[in-house]
Amino acid sequence: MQQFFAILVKYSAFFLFALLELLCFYLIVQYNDSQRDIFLNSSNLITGTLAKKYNSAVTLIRLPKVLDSLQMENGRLMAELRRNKYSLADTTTRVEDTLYLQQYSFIPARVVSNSITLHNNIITIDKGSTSGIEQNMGVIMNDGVVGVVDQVGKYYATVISLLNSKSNTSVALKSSGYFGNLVWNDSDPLHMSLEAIPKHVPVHRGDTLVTTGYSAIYPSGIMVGKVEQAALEPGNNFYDITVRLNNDLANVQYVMVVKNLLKEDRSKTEKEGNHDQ
Amino acid sequence: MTNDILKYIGRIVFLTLLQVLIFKQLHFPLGTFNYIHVLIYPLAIITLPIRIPRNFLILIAFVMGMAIDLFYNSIGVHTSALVFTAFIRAHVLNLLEPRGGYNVNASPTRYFLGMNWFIRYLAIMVALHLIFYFSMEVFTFVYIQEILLKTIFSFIFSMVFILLYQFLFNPK
Repeated sequence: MQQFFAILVKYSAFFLFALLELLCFYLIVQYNDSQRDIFLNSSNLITGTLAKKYNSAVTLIRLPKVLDSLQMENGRLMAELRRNKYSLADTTTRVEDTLYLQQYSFIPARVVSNSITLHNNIITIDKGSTSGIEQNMGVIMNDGVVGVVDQVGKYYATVISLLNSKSNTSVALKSSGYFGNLVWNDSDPLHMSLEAIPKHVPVHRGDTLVTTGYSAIYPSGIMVGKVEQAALEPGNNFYDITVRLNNDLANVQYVMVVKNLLKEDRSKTEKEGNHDQ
Repeated sequence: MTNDILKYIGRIVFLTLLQVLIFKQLHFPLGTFNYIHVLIYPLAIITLPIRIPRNFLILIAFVMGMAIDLFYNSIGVHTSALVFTAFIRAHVLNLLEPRGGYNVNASPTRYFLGMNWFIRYLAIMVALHLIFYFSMEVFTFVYIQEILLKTIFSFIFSMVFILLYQFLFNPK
């Protein structure tokens, strides 16, 4: 301590000088416009660059979270689309002021495992029964159809991919409305076959295929793919159509599980119909 | 003794007034450049007696600098330069110490130490003061070239006026 004071006294002139200079700096920056601008600018330059660097680093870390939230937002927005609602307008004259009842809701999920090379390809997603996922729900992605939910665990679920011999999706030609079954015949992950389109239907290369909504698994009108090749074998009543999928199932990361809120009512009704026969 | 103190105070006030009333108004336009500023007020600090305590000298410089800054509307700029000058004075005096040392009662002036010694001492002090002052004025070393140009031009003119003052008054 004594030494400290000794140093303080010995260099008192320097300390006084430093103190007064600091005071001057403060006064200069405080009371002189041009110097203040320079000071603020240069400090902004430093802090600004730092903040930018920090931000870009943090953005990268936050990216998965951002994607998740975007996915949620997408699900919410898709549910708002009119085609995903069941129109009450033509069946009910007045149900308070609600003309549209929500028919489909969407549960966003991430793909945790995927395969495209097998005979029966299965996709695993990171949402299960706790998120409200049930068997036979449809799974779509932003630009096409992915498959149907098969096994449901508490936190995970498996999806029968379109690229599976068990998959059988009902799709329709957007232009004419005729529908057929989309099946996979082990070719490659981008192409599938469309069966059961009768030969009197005009089919052209490039015709768009959409989901029908008949199966109550997918909402109707989701674009599936395009006709790439349509051949009519002699003596055959149905076309031999090759379809190029709109989405690339080899590269699917975020999906939406489709929840049909009116499914129970529909299946119950259909079951009663069967009993009657 | 009291007489001496009054004399030094009078010199400080006189040089301050001389600076802010006359030399502040002087302009030597050199084309579009405004490089020339005549600063003679450091002379008051430079020529105070050698025996004056260093801390006290720095405080005097601070007060005098503030007075000049008030007239220049540049709070802190002249002050910081003059405080620096006062601080560095002891080092320069050490550097230029004659063989026999300084006389106890001497001031670093022409009267006590001769013309040659005084000009060397004055040149170092004024140059240091000016370079510090212009650095503070510009406040960034981006314009180091401008700072040096201003220092050089102002140095020449300030030296001329300070020496003129010396010959006119020849202060002790």
